[in-house]
Amino acid sequence: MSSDIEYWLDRILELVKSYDVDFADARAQRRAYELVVVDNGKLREYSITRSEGIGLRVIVDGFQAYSSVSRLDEQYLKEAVETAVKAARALKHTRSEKVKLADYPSVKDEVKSAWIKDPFEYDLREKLDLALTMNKTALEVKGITSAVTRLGAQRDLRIVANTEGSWVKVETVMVGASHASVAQEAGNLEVISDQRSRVSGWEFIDGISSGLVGMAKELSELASRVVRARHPKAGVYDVVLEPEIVGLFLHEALGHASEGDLISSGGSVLEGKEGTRLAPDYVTIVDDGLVEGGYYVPYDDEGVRKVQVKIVDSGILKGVLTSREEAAKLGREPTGNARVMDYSKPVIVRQTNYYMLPGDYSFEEMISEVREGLYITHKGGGGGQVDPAAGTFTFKVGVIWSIRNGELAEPLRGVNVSGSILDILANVVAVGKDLKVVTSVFGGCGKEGQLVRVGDGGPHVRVKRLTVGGE
Amino acid sequence: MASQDLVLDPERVIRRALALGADEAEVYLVESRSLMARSARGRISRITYDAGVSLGIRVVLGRRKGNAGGDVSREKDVEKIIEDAIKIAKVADEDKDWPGFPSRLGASGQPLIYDKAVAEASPEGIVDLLSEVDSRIESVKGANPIMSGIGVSESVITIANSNGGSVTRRETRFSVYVEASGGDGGSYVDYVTSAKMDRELALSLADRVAKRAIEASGAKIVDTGSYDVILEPKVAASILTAVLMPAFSADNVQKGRSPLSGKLGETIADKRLSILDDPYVPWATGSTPFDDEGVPTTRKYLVESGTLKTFLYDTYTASKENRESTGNGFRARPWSDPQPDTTNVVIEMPTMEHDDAIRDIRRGLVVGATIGEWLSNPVSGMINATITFAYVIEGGEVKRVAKGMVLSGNIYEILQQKLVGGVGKPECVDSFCTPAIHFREASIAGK
Repeated sequence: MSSDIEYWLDRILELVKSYDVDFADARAQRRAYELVVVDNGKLREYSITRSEGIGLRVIVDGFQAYSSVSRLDEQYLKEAVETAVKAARALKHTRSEKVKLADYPSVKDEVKSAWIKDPFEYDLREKLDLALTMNKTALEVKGITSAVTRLGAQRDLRIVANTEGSWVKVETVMVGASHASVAQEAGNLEVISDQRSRVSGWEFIDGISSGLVGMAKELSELASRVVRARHPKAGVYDVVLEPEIVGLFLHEALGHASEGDLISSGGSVLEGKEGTRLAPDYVTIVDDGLVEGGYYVPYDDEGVRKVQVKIVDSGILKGVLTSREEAAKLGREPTGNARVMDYSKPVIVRQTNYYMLPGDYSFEEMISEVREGLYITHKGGGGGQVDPAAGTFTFKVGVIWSIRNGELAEPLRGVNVSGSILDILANVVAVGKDLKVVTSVFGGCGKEGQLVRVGDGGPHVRVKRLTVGGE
Repeated sequence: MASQDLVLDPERVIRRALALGADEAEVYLVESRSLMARSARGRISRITYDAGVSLGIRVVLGRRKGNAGGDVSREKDVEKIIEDAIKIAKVADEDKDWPGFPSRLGASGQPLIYDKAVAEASPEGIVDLLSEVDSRIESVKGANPIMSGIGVSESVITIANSNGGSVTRRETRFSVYVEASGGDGGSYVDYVTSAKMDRELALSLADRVAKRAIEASGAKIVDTGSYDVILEPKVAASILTAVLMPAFSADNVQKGRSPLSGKLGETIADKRLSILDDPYVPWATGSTPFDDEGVPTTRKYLVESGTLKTFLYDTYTASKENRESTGNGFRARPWSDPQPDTTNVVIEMPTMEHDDAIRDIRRGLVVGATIGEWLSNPVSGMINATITFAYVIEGGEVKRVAKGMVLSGNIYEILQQKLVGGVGKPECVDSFCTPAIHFREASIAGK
């Protein structure tokens, strides 16, 4: 079936060659997404969506423009090519910047993530029954007024080809389940949620289906307990972060600021800081396209092989994430971080799987060294934002456990935490010996209106002086 | 922008779905095109043109429903979408509450949502305006543009179902994004959107961003404690959108996840406060003559003088309470089920002059920008927002700019017990119109 879209991809590059362009690349995509939503014991929505199209970038006399086409026929392809070339030419007599791309050898390759059971061939009713069982189990817990369960599956075929002869095809299959339970007591409401996703076929869900029902029940039990808890008192705390929260923390606190387009435009506080010490020498942070638990990025959407980038190497700021355009601006190598949400969007620099490498602390040792502080976990949390130019980041944490005299105490409700990019990593005082990287089929990272799948994580980490919102 | 004809005929899609076995069918069709220019450090780096057709279909067999959709690449994709929807409906559970698709599709009037100047904007026109925006920032001593962008788009939205005919609207969107640095770690970022092409709006945005980027130089975190807070209109709008407005959704009320459940007719806010859902604010991005089910929109008070007057209904939630939809069924994607949501929100309350409000504050913050406010919890009513720009008020005077604090508080406690009032003239931001909002005893986590 992919031969059809491959024909149109070749065709658009042939058409663009009849114009006098310096460079062109085209991204073809065929994507399917399935979503089951069960809400309060009932199927609310079961949907299948499919998208297909081709996006084109041209560079004409150094000026760069994009166009795209979802209607695959000769007429629309011709229009897309003409539109892109015309738009690039429109930049000629303006305050525009001539674009250069860093050199990269042409690549021909075809790769797939591993899967056994194609989720789109799997029985629809069985999927629905699993979501219903999770949801109904969650609703049986005392004090639960509402529960939402989702199952998701994605199949994403991408081919990028360019006028230099590169042709790279990547196909990814991913599945996941999420659940949220709402508890009510004495006029208070609280929601606690979690999700499990994996780059895999439906065998991942099959393998953990009883675990998913257990997850839904545990989330309900946690919600009924936490709805009776208070929020922490606002202030600055010593904290121990769970791996999922470490991932969110790194993604927001360092990840965005290390994106090459923000650095080259003056939009990152890390500009000019290369080689400086940001963290103690036991802290190493990487961006990696292929890691257990993370999203699958063997190549980026320019057809550049994704390499592991050490952003912070033994505490020193070393790496920057780049596209070919940003690599040329910054005098670096392309790192395989040029990504698009879909075929119609321009390539921008994105993270892939961002995580901290493990150290030597056990979780118990870490907690035992905190006299008064907080253990911050992810259930009910998730989501964050950064202002990389101002250097301030924030993210939402889930259930918090008080730590007193080296022991875990009562739970507290989740809030937002915040910190300064340039200061916070110096406050990492212990790095655990565990490692967990997670991704999600339900969301991702948003930038310039584009959402892409990412992964993040790390070991348990202890951080001094994190700003925690609260009462 | 070049014109592209609508090739899909919704009536034909519905007939095909019925022929394939559906008892009811609905089509949501979006034909859109957009043009966007972006610059970095004041130099335009790319221009992007995008056009596409997106189709959503819902079919019902008996009372079993299936949804499908996507971008349409060829005629045969439409057939595949219909087949997907029917395949799902065949295995779905019967929904005994299913009311059928609405049978009275229509427009409630003609709000201002389409501007020919936006629809006909050329790449050259957009690029010139973006250059002007960047120059305006550079004209302020000490300020430099980081990233800027201007986008224009036009969409034609058609909704049709097998019970109620079809409706179509054409709308435009103009958006400007500006980020600037002002030295010594100072920076500021802001954006505007409107249905109307507005050069002055773009240039005044550039002026404000440049001024604040410089003011933000050397901004530091303040001490943890309790502060008087004035949320500027944009911040008030985004916080209330995240933490308060979902509570008016009848779906959340019926499913036990709204703190406003069971409070109809009760006082839920200060008596000086009213909240209006208004689909007719000129050029605002929430204005529309019909909702995403094709039901005519209505203007109504959600809160009048502090009293909760109504919730927001789509056809499904309205039917459960044996009442009419309020024309508030909106969807996240063409193929999603509608959920009750607002059109434009208008906050009405008495206001005082900005300088008078400041003069009365002993220790306070005027919050101009936040991040993470969308992570506030609408189920508990807990506000969580990290402040990236605030004027610090001490003894009735603006002393400096601060950043990096987390603002927290319960929205219902604020609206009932801590509200001081509105400040300055109301402003419309996207689909939300409000003055700045002043309240006491906000919890600020700082150093």
